[in-house]
Amino acid sequence: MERSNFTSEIPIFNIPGGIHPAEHKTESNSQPIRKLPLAKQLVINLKGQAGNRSVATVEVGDYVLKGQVIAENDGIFSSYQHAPSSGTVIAIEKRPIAHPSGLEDLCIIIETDGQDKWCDLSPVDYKNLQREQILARIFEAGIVGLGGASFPSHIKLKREQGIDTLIINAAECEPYITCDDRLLQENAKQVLAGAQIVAHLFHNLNIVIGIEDNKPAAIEALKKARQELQLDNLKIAVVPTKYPSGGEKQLIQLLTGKQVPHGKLPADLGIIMHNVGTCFAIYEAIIHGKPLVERIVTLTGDACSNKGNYRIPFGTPIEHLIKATESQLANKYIMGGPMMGYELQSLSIGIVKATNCIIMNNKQLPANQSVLPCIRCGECMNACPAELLPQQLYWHSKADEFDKAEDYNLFDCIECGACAYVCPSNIPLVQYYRYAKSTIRNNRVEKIKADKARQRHEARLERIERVKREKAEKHQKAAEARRKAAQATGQDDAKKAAVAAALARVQAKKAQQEKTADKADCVDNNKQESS
Amino acid sequence: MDLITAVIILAALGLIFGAILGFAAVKFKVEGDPIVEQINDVLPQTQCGQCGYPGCKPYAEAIANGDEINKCPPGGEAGVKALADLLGREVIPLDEERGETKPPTVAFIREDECIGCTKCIQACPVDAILGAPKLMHTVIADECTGCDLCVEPCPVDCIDMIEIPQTISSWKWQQPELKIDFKEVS
Amino acid sequence: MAKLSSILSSPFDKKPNSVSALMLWVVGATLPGLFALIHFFGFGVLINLCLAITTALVCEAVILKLRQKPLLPILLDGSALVTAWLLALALPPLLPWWMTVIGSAFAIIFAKHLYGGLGNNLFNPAMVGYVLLLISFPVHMTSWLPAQDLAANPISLGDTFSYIFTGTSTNGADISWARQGIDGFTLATPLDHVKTELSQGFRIAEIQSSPIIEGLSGIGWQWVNLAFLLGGLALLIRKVIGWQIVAGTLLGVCGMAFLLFAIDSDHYVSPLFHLFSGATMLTAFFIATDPVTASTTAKGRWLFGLGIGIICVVIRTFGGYPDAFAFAVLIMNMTVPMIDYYTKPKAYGHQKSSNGTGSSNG
Repeated sequence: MERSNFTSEIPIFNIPGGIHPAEHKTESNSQPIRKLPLAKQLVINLKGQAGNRSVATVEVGDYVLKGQVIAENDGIFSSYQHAPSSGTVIAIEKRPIAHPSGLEDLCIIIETDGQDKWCDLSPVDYKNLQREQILARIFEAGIVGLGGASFPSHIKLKREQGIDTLIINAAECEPYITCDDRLLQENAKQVLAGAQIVAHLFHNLNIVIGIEDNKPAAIEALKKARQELQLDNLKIAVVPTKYPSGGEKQLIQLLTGKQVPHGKLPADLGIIMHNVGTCFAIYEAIIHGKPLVERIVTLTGDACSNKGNYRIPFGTPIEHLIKATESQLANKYIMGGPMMGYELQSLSIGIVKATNCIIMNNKQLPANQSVLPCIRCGECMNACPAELLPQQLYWHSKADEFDKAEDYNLFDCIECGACAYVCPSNIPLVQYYRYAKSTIRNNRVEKIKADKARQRHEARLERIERVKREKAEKHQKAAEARRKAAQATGQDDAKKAAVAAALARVQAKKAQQEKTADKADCVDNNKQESS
Repeated sequence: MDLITAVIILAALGLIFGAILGFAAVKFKVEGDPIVEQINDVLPQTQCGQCGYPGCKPYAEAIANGDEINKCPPGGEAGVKALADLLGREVIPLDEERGETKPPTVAFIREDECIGCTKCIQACPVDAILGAPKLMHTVIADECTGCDLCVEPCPVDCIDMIEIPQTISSWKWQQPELKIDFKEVS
Repeated sequence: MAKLSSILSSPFDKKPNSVSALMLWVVGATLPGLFALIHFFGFGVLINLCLAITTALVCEAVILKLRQKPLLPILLDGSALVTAWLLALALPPLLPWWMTVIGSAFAIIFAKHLYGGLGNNLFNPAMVGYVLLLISFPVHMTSWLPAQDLAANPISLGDTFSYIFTGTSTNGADISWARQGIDGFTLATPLDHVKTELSQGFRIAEIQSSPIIEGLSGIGWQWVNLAFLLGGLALLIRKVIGWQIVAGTLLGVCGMAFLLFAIDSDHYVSPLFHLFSGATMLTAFFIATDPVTASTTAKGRWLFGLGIGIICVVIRTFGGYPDAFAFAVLIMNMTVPMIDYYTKPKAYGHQKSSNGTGSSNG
């Protein structure tokens, strides 16, 4: 693939590991970004972002305009959802969602009316707004990280203290995906304007845009846009093409030489990072008042007849994309790239904010060869960008020795797949790590639940004990009071003795009768009485 | 004479090393949870009594006193393994008489059938049922351990044990099944 | 919807490499060394190769059958082939056939499969087989032929067969006939020769006049080692083997030999002699680099290699055996779990230098 000969404007550091898989980018990055006919139904997943599920604010039967809020945030770690096109809400129900499990979750289903009519938009001049107001607008526009993690952007932007560098992530290191490349080629100016808005939120922010050298056209477009906007504090950092240079932690290491310490955030190094798509979305939200209702998706793979990048409204079902690109049905549909994406279990799911690419593949991938034992060759270790020992993690994950896996820093694994890519024994390493990680997480949840149950059980036992004790004390007190009263009024004694004698007589009589009765009956009676 | 010397030397050595060991035992004593607490930590705290004891803690005490580690169906094979690891015992299969490991469930009261007899409330080991005499009862689903103990006492059979459906957040990856699936899936 | 348990995780792309390709590369890279061995020591090594490989594959097949494992994928992974191949290269060319068979069978059955098969063995199987033979049959195992250019009676293909399968040459002569030099004395390997002469009070300078150790390390052995070096470099370039182990081993040999040589050059041979004699190059590039039994961390591989090099020179110099690579490798195999444990690399974000609290100029 063509490489840019543009020299980076800041020194580039090295990152350990990494791989060079076949890029497959030229298939989709030569065509301009296109639009597809609107789908009849849009399936908008309420859990389309990292964090809490959004709460629907519309009801079945409501007519909604494009850009209208249909679901609002649940807490700060959540996001808004907007109608991606005008139409009627026909259902709010569980549907399969974009998730590796293929499980169902709550979705709003909109039947589009074909008008694609926008609601009233309110563009603003952000320079007149307070910081909080700009953040609120970004929040209310439903903007989340479009690089793949869908992390709500307003949270990243909230912290102002100590931030001195904004890194725009344009590395796009995964094979097949070209949506950021194409966006920069066509809308570099808007992307940089978005970055400018972000920079406006901070004081004296250095802006660095990190891009791999396999995108010469995008780099040219960036240079031009920078000149037009007179953005002098923006540096273009061209990094050598190597997967996974676009990982957040990896790009930070490439551009600064620093590592984000374990358990800390990039912000602790004074860095915030946003994807180019996110910058574009922020530009649209602030300058044009448009909430996030669509994104650029790369449609590619050997079964895709019209490969390229498309601007697709959220919720568009995969089956519609297949029809609209006149593609044949493929064996396998991957959402995301081949290294970190996941296979779709259903074609009825709608695309979400994180969907950067759909790969429609027929060809059997070489990963399906038979698996041999690990020969400890260490290729995985050489490929690991997080400097872990993947084969040790594999041994321990396979044997369910989760505490040992954690000792080997399992949770520092970014699941980039470089280890499994190079493994000569074809071991599905990442799956073992994901198995171990998700099991550990589930176990933690269960442990908390068990602790709570234990506490409640202990509290109950204590309460029962206490009630028993109190009852006994009460009886004792009552008995004492009676005795005292009896002592005080001695003549009652005779009366009491008479009553006791009468009771004894009655009981003796009863016992006599019961002796003649059936034994079983007797037992039964006693039981009932005692209960 | 030689014999006596040998005995004396051995006795002296025995005393010295005994003293060293004794000192070490005091000096380097490992402070840890008492074993019952550790066992109780591993048990799932369902408080279901399937083990034959009136709760998880009594079973933990029984295990510490030598009872088998395979009497806890809710803990499953994984639980037996964890106990075996903790106690340095053999991993043994679950005792089938105690019941089988079932997927996690939660109790649900069909509220219009409930007569308000409070029997389930008394049976619940974790106080997860709310209600008062002659008034409808309901289960606090988050606190329910799925122990089944409330089902039996209910005179009108209005309590169902419902399997907890798998959700996105409870879903987990499985170990790859290499023998069959990995080759077949295209 | 697919069954939940069959959901496959990413990545969905795979580098086109495989265990068997790695193994074939190793075999291929030994070819220059093999040709040198044949050239200088006759066709015995070829017969040994055939015997060892056949035995190894048969043993592996039987064991796999017993362990109820699939036959073909594991037989074809090439690991048994490599074990047998390396063992055969290390054996003396006229070793009786049944010893080769025992060594190869022991390597596969005991050193490999009793530990659980490929990937689970602690010790390098080829070296376990070699050491078993060395301590059971020390005389046969140290009866190397002289380089044929120096031999009084260069042996024919027929003689080779005869020696291996009957123990004598075609006309009934025993092994010492084949080992005679032009001057009528039995010729030893350079390492053996140096050891014997030193024990008789000669100085290095005097010993070096012998034609056996002419040049770097004697006419035959220096070329064999150079040929293995050539093949090994090809593996390094192809990144089939870890360079740290190779570098460590060679540095270990050089360093230890230099230390001794610097102390007393009259009684200790030069580092160059150590580098190019015996099985130094074969060990450094092909045997120590067996990934299964070597350390897996970058630092650990250095230590592992250094250990092998140093132990090898120490045993060659002070021990009872003329060469010692097999012992050195096995001893270092034992230390691998410990080395691995103490040389864990610092994961991303765990480095001390990165633990700063970030910039404060905001």
